Amino acid sequence: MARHNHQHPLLRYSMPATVVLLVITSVTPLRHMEWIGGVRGLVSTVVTPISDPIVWFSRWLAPASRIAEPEESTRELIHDRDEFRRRLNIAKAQNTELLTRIADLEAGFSRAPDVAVKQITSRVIGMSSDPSSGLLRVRAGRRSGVTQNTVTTVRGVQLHGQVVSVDRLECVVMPITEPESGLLGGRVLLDRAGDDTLSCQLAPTGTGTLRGDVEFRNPPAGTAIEDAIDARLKPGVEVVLDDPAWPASAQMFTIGLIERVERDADQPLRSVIYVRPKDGLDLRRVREVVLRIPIDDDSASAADEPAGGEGPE
Amino acid sequence: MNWIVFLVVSWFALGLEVGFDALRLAPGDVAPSFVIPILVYIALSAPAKHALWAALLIGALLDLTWIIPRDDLAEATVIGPNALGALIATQLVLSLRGMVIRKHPLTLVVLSIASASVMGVVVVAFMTLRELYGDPIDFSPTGELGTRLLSALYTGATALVWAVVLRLMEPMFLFQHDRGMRRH
Repeated sequence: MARHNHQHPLLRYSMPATVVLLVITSVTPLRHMEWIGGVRGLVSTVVTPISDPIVWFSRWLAPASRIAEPEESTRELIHDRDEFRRRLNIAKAQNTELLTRIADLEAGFSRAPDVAVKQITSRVIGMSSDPSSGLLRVRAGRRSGVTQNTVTTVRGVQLHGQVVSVDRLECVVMPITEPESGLLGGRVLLDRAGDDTLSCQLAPTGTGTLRGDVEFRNPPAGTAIEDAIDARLKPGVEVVLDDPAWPASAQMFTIGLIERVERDADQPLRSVIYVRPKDGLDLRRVREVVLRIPIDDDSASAADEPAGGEGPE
Repeated sequence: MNWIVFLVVSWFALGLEVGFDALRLAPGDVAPSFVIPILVYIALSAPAKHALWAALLIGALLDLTWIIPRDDLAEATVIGPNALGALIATQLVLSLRGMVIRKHPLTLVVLSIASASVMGVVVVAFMTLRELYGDPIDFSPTGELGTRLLSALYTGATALVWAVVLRLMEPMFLFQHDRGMRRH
């Protein structure tokens, strides 16, 4: 015991002081803890060399979807088909909007027909150490032009999520299926061409799906309610994003396919749908994502810099 | 204790913790910890002071790799809950290590489950406190506690594998030298 008394005070009190400091930081409100982001970035840089190959191995063992990816040429054709279908839907949505505006004698139509984007495919290099957090670390950061709210997609037009924070070399992405990602405005495509649609609001369930209400249009007077219920609303139907809160570069991307429809006996004109990403993808377990970075005057200079991802598509 | 070997092993375990999710059971987010068995192994073998500092270090690293989703479409990091949880869990192992067979693989399994449970309770307690004063985090104490206790049980599986690996690595940790010293 006597030996302890001769310890330097700095050594003697270092442990209790550290504990007190940790208790303070444990309860300090988040708004005062933003400085930790820099330290976290450093730790992340140190851990990445080991976590990156482990993620690759882990995804090989347990892929995001059990459906095998097709051949390269087929994949390109599928991608082109999906992309053109998306553009068609955008064009149709814009057409509808234009017609409405003309009808209302509105002037000053200024919406751009489409948003030019740079696409960067980047690997997922890690997750949170806590399994309940579904956020993903992706190897592309400010250096590649990524900004907060940059949209991520996977496998062509499947919407994946949104960047919630960005460092110089990496960013953190929140998949749309995470409960914290909030409500998504969607459009149910009742026919393949996307001429007939229904609006919906989807909320993540926390189990890899999204749930929301779909309301059928009120039937004309004299028509039975049963006739207003559209039988085309069934499992397998595609739901796309149509939400002004999301960037234009994300609109009409696929949220998923309807997995289940529940009819409400008390409200026959309303149904509850459960939507799962295409191919049963688990958005937490994807190997890589495509970052869609809008190209504008401000970001043009950033785009010219060498990219940190695996390269533009 | 050889701190370099400890740091290398912890680095590898942390890489597994943030990279290897193939064992994750979904839905429910139940996943084993790869780091906690290291913590318990050190607490079983090293001098108490070394074990406590190692626990603080590992806990702090877990905190710094924990990306907490916020309600306002952002993320946050909190340093402290895992570090303090690891410290308390290590104290638990230190108080029990005189009563267990240190080299038996099941010792590491059982104590890893107990330590992970203690850490889970401490982390949930701190995060619940944060939610009480209105931090923008979506945290369900009951659900989180259930998930963490199930994850603690699952950690027993990784602890069994670690028990074999760490037994082979034991000479590198130089604990024999520590055994001659007084433990306090």
